[in-house]
Amino acid sequence: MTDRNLRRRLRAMSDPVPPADLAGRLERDIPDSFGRGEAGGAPGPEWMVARLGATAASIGALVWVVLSVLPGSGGPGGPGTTVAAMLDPVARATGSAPAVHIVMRAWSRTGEPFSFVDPAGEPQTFEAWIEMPGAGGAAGRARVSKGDRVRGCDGRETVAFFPGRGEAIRSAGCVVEVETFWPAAWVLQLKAAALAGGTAIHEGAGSGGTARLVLREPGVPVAGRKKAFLPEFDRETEIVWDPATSRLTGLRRWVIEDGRHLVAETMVIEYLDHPDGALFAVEVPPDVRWVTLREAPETLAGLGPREVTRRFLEAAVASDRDTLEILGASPHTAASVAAAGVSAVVSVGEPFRTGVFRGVYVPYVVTLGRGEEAAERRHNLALRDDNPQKRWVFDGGF
Amino acid sequence: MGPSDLILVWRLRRHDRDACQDLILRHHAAVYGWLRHLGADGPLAEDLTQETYARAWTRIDSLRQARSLRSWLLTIARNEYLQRARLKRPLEVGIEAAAAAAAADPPADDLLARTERDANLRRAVSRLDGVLREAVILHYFQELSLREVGAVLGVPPGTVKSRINRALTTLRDLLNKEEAHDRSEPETAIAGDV
Repeated sequence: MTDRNLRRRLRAMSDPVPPADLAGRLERDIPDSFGRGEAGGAPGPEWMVARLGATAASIGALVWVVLSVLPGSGGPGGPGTTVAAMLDPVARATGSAPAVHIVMRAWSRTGEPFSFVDPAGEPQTFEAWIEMPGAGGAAGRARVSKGDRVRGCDGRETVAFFPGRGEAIRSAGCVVEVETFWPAAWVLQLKAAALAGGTAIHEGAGSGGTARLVLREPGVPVAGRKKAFLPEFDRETEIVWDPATSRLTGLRRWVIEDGRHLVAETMVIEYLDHPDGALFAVEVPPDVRWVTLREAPETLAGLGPREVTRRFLEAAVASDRDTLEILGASPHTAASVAAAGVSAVVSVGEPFRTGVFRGVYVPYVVTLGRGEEAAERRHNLALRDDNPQKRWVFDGGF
Repeated sequence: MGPSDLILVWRLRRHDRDACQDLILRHHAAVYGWLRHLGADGPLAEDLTQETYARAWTRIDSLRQARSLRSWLLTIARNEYLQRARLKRPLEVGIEAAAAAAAADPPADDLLARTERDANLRRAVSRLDGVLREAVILHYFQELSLREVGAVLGVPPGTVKSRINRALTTLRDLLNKEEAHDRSEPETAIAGDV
């Protein structure tokens, strides 16, 4: 018997089952000192909402967000100036928190990156702990997770762990899509949208003494591709904030695509002063395979994104796992792609950039299966080149 | 710790009664199972599960950004179990004694073991040395990380890792012997063993 087999059997073992009435007895023993919800005791200092007020560090954080989210955002004087001016203090106050904890539901798909949107998909729980650069961790720290993946940066390196694949990847620097989860970035994105011609369909008081804004924005053209990322959809975004602090307290997003579909909503927004460093750690079990990028032979080095995509798909047709791995697929992914039944490469389109992804997407069409059962598949291969070899490699989208 | 546990910690520290109910529903089976694995019989495991939660309610304020709610509860449960074992001599259910007891008289819940292979594995685990058995149960049955197992047992993660490696070696030997023995036994004997 191999260790792997033994571990699998151990994990599959069932625990002794408690009597059915035990939970009820335990609940009856909860002391009366515990109240209901928010009426209970106050949170401890480490959970306390940060006080309003920008510090030098938080201004630095805000600048970092602006730089990464709003290249080329519009200036004052445009049609959305009023809305933009209204959002300014919200962005400033929201961005003044050294760190934030977000839990949100988003309609996406397993196996896709954090920024992927699928209105017909299943809601997934996303969680993010983000400490901006200049706060407690000088380089910035973050940990984001959803069901099939967790990615954490401790300020020095990033660890991505994929539990279902039993694989993990370590890379230098902070490779985390923090903008997707940073409330100040959401506000700034809306401000940019307002300045670019987005339409406010509600602005004013929300329920319970809150302030509320709903903004409608058009999607960017996708040239025949299937929409897959938020900026590509016509959409409405609702933000809610506390007028007393100007800090964001909620966000919901809908896409307008054969109706109005909720695709994201926040469940928790917490502003933190001093997050525990352990929150940013990614625990990787000992039997997980650490994946590293293989060296490429001359024939596969120095290729552009479109050519990498073509070679990748041709390797899928040939079930050539070796080439798939050299082009960036992990052993687990290479095995899946090789077994996917790709029978022909129909087309490879022009690379494009969208959302917060730092790489490029390359649209493709392939045929799966043969004969009467053949089916066409259209999708976008994600490629990035921020690896030590500085070459374009696969990063998802199959 | 998953997203939901993080929110639960936050709610617990606000003394939210609904969060207490969530803590019970989410983890009481693990606490009960852990106590049974330690060697407690059914009634004692129920009793100690109640004491574990009673202790937890008094310590909520010391619960900060716990690495894992489950490991926090299992640590309390283990302490309660060891304390009871020390105080109640007639039980004599120390960690070391529990292995022999479990091997000789498997808990009734073992009927849940769906296959003969499961039963063999459970018996082999019960025969492990106490410290090895605890590490295996926490890591594989309770699905705690090495760091969390270390927190429960009060040892560094490296020690947990070496204990698990030793346990796996021992388990493999035990299972190989047992399964070789089973193959040489008549079918009725195997069926009676399940």
